[in-house]
Amino acid sequence: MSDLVLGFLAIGGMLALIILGMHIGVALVVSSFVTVWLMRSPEIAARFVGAAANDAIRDYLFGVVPLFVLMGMFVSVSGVGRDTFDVFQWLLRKLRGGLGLATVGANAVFAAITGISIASASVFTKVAVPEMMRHGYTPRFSVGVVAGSSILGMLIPPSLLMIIYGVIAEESIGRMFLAGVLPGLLLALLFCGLIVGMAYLRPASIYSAGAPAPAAEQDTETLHSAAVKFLPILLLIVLVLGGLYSGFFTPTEAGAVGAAGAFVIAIARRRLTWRKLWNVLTETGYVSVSVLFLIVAASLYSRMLALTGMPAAITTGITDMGLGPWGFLAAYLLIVIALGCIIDSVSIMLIMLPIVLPIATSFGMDLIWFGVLTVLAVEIGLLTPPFGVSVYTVKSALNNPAISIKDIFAGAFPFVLVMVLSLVILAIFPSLSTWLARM
Amino acid sequence: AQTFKLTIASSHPTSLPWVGLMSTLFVPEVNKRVEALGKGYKIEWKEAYGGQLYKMNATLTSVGQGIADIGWVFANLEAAKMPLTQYATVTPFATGDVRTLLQVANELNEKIPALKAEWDRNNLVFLGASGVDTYHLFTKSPISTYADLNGKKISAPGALGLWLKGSGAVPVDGSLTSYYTDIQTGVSEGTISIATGILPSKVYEVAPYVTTVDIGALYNGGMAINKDTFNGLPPEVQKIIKDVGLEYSRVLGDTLMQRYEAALKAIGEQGAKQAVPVKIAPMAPGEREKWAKTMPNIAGDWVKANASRGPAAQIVKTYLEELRKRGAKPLRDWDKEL
Amino acid sequence: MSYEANTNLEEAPVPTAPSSPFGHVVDALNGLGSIVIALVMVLMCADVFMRNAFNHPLDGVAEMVAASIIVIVFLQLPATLRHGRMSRADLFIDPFVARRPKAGKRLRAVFSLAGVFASGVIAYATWPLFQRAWANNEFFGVEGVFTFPTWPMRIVVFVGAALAALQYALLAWQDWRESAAAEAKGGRP
Ligand code: NA
Ligand code: NA
Repeated sequence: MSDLVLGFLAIGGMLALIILGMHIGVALVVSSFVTVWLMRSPEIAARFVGAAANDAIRDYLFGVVPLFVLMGMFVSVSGVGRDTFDVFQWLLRKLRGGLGLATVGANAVFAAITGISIASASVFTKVAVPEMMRHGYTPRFSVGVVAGSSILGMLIPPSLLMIIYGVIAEESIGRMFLAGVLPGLLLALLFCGLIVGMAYLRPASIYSAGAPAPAAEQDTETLHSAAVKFLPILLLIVLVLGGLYSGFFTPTEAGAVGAAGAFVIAIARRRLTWRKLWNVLTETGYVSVSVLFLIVAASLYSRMLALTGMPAAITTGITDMGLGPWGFLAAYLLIVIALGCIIDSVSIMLIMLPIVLPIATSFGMDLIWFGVLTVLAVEIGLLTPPFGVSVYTVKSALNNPAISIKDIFAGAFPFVLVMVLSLVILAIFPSLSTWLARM
Repeated sequence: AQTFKLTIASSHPTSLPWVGLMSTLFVPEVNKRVEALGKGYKIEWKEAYGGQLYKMNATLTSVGQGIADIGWVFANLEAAKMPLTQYATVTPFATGDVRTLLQVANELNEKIPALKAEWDRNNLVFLGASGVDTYHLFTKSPISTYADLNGKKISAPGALGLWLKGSGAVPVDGSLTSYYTDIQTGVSEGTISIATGILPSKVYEVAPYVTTVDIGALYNGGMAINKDTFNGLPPEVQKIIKDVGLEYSRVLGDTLMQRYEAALKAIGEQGAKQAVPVKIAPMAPGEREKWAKTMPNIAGDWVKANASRGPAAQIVKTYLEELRKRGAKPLRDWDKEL
Repeated sequence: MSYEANTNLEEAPVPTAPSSPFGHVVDALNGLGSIVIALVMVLMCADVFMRNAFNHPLDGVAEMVAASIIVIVFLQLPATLRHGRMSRADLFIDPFVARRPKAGKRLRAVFSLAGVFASGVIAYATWPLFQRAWANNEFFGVEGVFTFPTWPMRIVVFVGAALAALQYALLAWQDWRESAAAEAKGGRP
């Protein structure tokens, strides 16, 4: 059997094991080990595993993973997320679908301090979903908005996926961050358009009673109280983005400074007990370790694929097919979206990018633009079944058996369609991604 | 007829000359010579460059363990496993001619048993040295005197920070991919780097003042083959691989020299029309001398620290003598200060 | 699901695994890892502060952070596994276990054995790296600036992987036992 055939069998085997429910990291390690064994020897295969475990994440850049998670947890316990939502709720109270718009707005602002979407999803599930349901929105729409808008967290800087792309593609991380700004705002606007459209054209799809509930409640919020509530998040944004773009710290250090800032706010607001601090740290550990172990396993897997010669074969295959740049791009994005159904965002990038970056370069594509498209396509996977990270986050943060996983996937589906639309727009207009970054 | 399967790999991409030549020179040349033997031997190559099999933090162990059969070893990052091989890093201002440097490095690896042993101990057979063109300053504001460095934050990865000792400059850790953002935002105010690296990363856009200090070319490692793999090859093939390894190193020296000159020129041309145009100026000889002489005796410190690991003093002496024999004029006689 | 899961931070987490001496060891290592995360935050902030306020960055922060990440992962891997937080796709296995408990739990036990194997290989392959780092006084960093020995990192990887293998073995055994009980009771819940 040729090495190449082995490589394809390894991919099939890995997918089967994952779909059957083996832990994803374990499935990647086992299928890589067996394949290298068949190509070389069990001893070499063991050394491959040992090298990946000991070296793959021994990198300063991966320090951002636990730090961004930690920041999200502190923001959550300090109540800063809730206050941000309150402010947007008050600002948009007169509009139809106002609470949905408020969720998108608060997510876009929160995105400016967090680097991972799961932080956004868990914070706003607790904050926005009960509020929306209380105001007569359907459960399905309520959870859908939260899951959908959480993906802004990794498009608007800072962003873990942009950092990982920057590292793999050897693009400046600062530029990748800037590249995400306009696409992130575009997506937020399109989400708002979707919500307003649904509110006016198909009110039954978002309101339980079929029409918006009358605004009976009196407003306790004032300009002053709203400003006070907005101050902490503003401070965090100034700290993270201001510090980043005035040279006090690097993109990787932003995670640490942001986490420290959120910690100080939590202390100042007396929201942190020793018990809660310990919960935050433990939870940060669980979340980061499962991501990082996946990165270890996925890097072993891509090394195994390299040894089979598959990346090179696919590269020549695509070149020989004469797909041309647009054909290649469409095929690539479709593959990424399909992979997004079954594996997580970081693994997709680690598996795909080493294969496609040389091809993209050979077509003379702008790698910053390519990175924005990649990150957005990968993020679609956060919302698609069966393995949709944001959806599962909403589900577990919600802790409400009446709302099923299926409801959340269904509620998020309109947002998936809007993301595909914006993917097309960004592909056609590269300057949306490159203008700020190349300034 | 006999077929040998060899995997050749690197942590860095083929755009770097010392990786590119593995693919464009080493592999085809070995094939050609093996075929010319007429014994029916054939090598089936699998090429995996650009970190596909391992990253730069594991170049030595990956080839030593047989994850790749042949690979480029980034010796500068392996000070713990190859302490004596670091001699060129601690003797800056020795020569700006990378061809001479590589010749001497190749020769020392054969002539000095302690150096050869460092490859051998890690289960490797050394094939040919690699290096980079001479180091200059690329900064946001002009550096005309050595004193101008005082208090400046300068990006310089790892051991290169040693070269700033005594200048009052603050070394900031980073890599070629981070320099642009770091300098643009002010995390650092410039970098000690190489023209062939600054050109593709466009760092001159944010650091338009190029001071050609000529701190020296740097020996950074080399190509090596796994010892078990090597011992499994017929003697004729072994000889071909070693010969072509040295050929690789020689061509690399020439290529680096050409690319260096072209890169410096291209930086000047491409940066001529930007808001603050690129200005390339040499550092005044007196100032350059001041730099070399003010630096603490880093070679002496290194020799002291490594005395127990082998003939560190002899290595520094031989290195500088061999350089002088080939016409180099080290600015500081590190070997006379041990 | 794993990193998509999120517990309520306001209260003490619901116990997700029965208490045992082995569990205490695993949770203690997890606590140690949590402390390392906090230290990384403090260390990076201190570096930023020293660099900007006093033009004096801390030596070796980049190296320490790089090494700490793998230390965090392997200190916390066994606990992450023990508390059911490893990433997996549940579309097939969860309904399957509910419908056919005996076959489902056996399949899950087999998957846990694969976990024993994967973690075991990591431990097996890391042991010689530890021995070499110990015997040769290997270090990372730059001599004359900052150095730190390599062996503590290696031993953490070894111990973490070995404990993860043990934890997977316990999970496999538990599922296998329960599958036998399901058989005795007629196979349906
Ligand atoms: Na963000
Ligand atoms: Na998905």
